[in-house]
Amino acid sequence: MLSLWLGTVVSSCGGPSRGEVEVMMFAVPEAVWLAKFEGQLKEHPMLWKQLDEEARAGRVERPVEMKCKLAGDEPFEKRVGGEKEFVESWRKDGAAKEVKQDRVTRRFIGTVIRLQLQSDMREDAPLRVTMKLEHHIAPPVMRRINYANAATGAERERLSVEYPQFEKIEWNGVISVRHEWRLVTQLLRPQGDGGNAMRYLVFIKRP
Amino acid sequence: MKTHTLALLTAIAIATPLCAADDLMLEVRQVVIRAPELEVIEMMAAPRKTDAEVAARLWQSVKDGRASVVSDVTSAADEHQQFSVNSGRQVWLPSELSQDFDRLYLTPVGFEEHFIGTALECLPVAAAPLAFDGQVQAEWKTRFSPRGPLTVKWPTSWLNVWENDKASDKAVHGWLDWRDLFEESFNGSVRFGGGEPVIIAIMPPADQVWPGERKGRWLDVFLGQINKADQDEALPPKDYAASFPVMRTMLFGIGLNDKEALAIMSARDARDDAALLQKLLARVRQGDARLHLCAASANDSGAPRNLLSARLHDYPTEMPSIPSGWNYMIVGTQWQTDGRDLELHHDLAPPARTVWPLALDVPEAVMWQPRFRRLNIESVQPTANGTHLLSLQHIPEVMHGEGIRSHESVLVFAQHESGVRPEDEFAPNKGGAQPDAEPPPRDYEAEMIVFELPAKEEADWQPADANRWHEPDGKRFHALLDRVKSGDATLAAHVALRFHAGSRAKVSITEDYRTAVEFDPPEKPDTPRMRPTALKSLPVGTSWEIKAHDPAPEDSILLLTHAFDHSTAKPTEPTLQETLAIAAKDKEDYPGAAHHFETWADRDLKLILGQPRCLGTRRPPGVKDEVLHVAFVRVK
Repeated sequence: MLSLWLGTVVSSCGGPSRGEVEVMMFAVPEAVWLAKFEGQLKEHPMLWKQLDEEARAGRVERPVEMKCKLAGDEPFEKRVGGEKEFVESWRKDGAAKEVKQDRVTRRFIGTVIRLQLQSDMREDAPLRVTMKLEHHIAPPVMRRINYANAATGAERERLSVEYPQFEKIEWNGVISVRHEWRLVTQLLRPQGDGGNAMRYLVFIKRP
Repeated sequence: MKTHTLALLTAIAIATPLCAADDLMLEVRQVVIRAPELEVIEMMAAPRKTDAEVAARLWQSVKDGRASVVSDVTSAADEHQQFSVNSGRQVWLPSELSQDFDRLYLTPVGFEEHFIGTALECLPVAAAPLAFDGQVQAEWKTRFSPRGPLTVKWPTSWLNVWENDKASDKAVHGWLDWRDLFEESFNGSVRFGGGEPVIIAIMPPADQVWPGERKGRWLDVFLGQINKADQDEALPPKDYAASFPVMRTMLFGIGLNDKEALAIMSARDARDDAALLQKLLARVRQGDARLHLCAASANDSGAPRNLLSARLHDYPTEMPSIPSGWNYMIVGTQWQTDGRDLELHHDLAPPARTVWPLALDVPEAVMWQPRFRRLNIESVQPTANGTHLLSLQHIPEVMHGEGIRSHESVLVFAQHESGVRPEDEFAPNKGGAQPDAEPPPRDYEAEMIVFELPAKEEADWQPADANRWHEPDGKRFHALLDRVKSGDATLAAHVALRFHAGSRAKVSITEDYRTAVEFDPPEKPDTPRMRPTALKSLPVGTSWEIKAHDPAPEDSILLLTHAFDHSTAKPTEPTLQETLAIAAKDKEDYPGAAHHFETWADRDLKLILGQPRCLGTRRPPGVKDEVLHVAFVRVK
């Protein structure tokens, strides 16, 4: 779980007001999902409540919790995590066997939430926001490719360079936000290299 | 039907400003269920079965452990607002390599990011947002990778190693690790009704044909569903099966013995294609016919759609013995429609491989190129409800090899459900034809058969001269059918294709054979080494392109313009010794592989519908036996 190494994204900015929204993500082991949730609940506030109870009992994680006040058409962006360098080009100098880093790029690893009000702020209408969410659900995994094509065995493994693989979820769109929790997205991460199958659920509401 | 959809969209567009302040809050779900191939086909076989009924059976299969959920994504959606959701891995893969030839170092100097997982983009529009009844039309774009990149090892060789600033006798050989990707995708417009699940697409897993490591044969069923986000208000009760009829096209490609396929085509009544398909599917279940292709797609009144399930196979193009440039080819199924136009490409087996030895003194130095073996259809999709034969393709002798059987013909059927019930087909207010609409062009079926006979019979099989074109050729044709049946004659080629008058159509079944036409000669004249530096592609197999007019349909006469090519012998690449011999003569005129083929082509050939016409004979080039090919064409 990314939250174990980043720390859970918890952010708050001021008390409830007209332009305030809350975003929360749950990470649910698929076994728990199948046993307690699959096909059971349709109403989002009730689903959120039960997930919240499971989170309090420690069976479900909350990797993202964020509360924020939006004003006018000013975009709001929250980033939790950090930048990391990755080599995007390698160079071989002269007769040396080993290659060197030639060009490096920086990538943000963590959680990014970008919100911006869309609609006017009528009290009786749903608040509409543009939302972009990116959340790395695991640290980058580095893979290797050899460059010495004639080499064999341990020499071949040694003469190799690494490149990254990022595992993340992304949601991008416009969404109406009410005073009750609304499910933004629910995603299955199938069982594989990254471990057991997990479900990720993102909710949004106005406090 | 198209007019009906336009009217619906226009009404929606006019209503949009009125409802913008309080747009519907929707919930969109897509699930991909992987289930055994024959079980899915059995679920879908009964025509007019609703998607909800099929979905319920699929979920039962998941519950029973026979099927599994391989992708599941749900998203909030506001009406008229597009969203995108991605879940998976962003994988960097090398895209550019710097070459140190003498040491065979290929160092990555550029990477591209590739997405492996599930992606969905959707733009939903409700038919009646102010009194929501569950009818939603959505632009649906989805991509699913059933597995991560697969490492493919490519031989790399450098034949002219320089040492101490001069050419040496050394060559160097090694292996380059490259990657293939896998993708299943659908892009098109889909109609939803009553919150019920809709079958967006059905396709084989992208890795089923190649590498084919998974046991059994499977189909991935993409189910979509759009509901109101808040479930507190129940949708108005309706008979959803009647209100939201099935809008789906399903393709089946079935391979069976070529003689049997010829007999079926001769005895067949096109009105009974549904029964014929069911009979052939029963034989697939019994194991005496082979299912090559099964795919389905939601259809929405002729709106463009694209379905893909394939391995994206990278192969070297520039200097392929030490790659500096790559191309990719899809190996799997690609099906595109736009209006009435249809294009289908389907690989019958993993690609074969051509191997070039590069050095007589370094046997491990080789170069590979893939030979893609696929069937292609460019024609029309049916608009009428029902099951229709789209094409027949006999697999030519020159394509036989691993994974490709001898004496097999593949019949491709389309099972089309337009969403208009048969009784409403002429009722405009129920989705049927508008009174002032132009009738759709008439569909025909063209068939070309090439028989192989002893060469001594040449005089017996000449075509009638131009002013006797109307004299029936049926007697000679049926005599040949009987001879094929008895084993006294064989089939050299057989293709059939559904088309409509006035439009170009093409059917082909070919192996994409790459032959070397330029070489890098040896650095030292006495070094027996050559490496190809440029390749040319030869379409080896059978292809037929047609265009026909029906100037007087009431006279049952049709004018056919066509070109038919049939390869008569497998191309053979010149050996390294032969290539070195050409280089030794200071000639750089490398012939590449010889491609022997025969052609029949005519312009405005007059045909009487239903009557076969003899097109004459050819002595097949590249064939040692004293044989003769005689061609017949007929259009029904």
